[in-house]
Amino acid sequence: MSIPFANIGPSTPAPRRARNTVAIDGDPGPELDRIDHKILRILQADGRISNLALAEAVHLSPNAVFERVKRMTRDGVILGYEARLNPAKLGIGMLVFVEVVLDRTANDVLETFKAAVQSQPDILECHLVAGGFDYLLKTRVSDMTQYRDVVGAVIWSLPGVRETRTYAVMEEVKSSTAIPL
Amino acid sequence: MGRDGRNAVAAVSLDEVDTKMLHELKHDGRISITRLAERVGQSRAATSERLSRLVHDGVILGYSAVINATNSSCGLMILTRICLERSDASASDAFKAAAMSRPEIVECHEVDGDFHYLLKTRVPDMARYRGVLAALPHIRESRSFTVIDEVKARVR
Repeated sequence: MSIPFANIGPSTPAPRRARNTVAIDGDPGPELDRIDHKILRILQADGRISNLALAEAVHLSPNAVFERVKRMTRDGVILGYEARLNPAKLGIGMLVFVEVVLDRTANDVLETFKAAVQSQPDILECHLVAGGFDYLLKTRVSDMTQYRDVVGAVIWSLPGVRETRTYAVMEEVKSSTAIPL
Repeated sequence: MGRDGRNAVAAVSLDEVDTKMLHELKHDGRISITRLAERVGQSRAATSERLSRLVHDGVILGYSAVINATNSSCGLMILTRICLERSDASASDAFKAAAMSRPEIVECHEVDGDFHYLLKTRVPDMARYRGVLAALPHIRESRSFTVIDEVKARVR
């Protein structure tokens, strides 16, 4: 079972250099100056700010700011804009992390697992890590029933899963999507 | 569930139009009211009013540009399991305050398990990461896991 808004976000499967992916090929990307960074910080905090207000904040002409934003969008620095929603208000306030160890006997287990995760809307994030376990999954659920569904059924139905460890979050001390700039 | 205020708040009831609006705004946070109204099949005024209500009710917290981490100065993501040396309130409060104040730490969660906190950190390099860890008080033990592939990335 999936819940509304647990699954909304950038469409998946993500392309290789999609949002927030780690640079594995060492490509540093386009050069950004101090003003670019300031613009990005402001747009991360207020994605609906007007061009005029943005221009005032960075002490540039509206036209110059518009051109900078256009350039950074074209260069793939700015991937888009999104509303930040409150999960608790949407009834999906329970955050759960699951560490997954895969059975590595099959060659294509990583690829099969990745594809399954990308098509599974209940899984919000999935990170391949070095050491200890293979993947860390992040999922949001509405209650214990859905927790059982997701952790007990959905995750165990992913291909190649050998072992899982589940951590329920008792307090979200900090939860930001912003990239520190 | 949580002691956290955010987890304690009740869900608001949303109708089909609200849901559709949130969906549109999630995908395009800069969509114009006119276009949004078209997409959800409502008048401009009705759309505007719904939007105000969703913000007022705390469903919409704000809007953000989505930045590509690859193209920024912090392409390295590290997950950290933290055990504190003590579990009393003063130690955990000091730890949480320190975590809040470091911009490199993008997420910090108190978890129920064999460690106390799970951190997600974005840094340009390992030297910066060491600095972040060193600044956190009362750590008894930490285990760091470098993310080598973000298979799926999403907001909260």
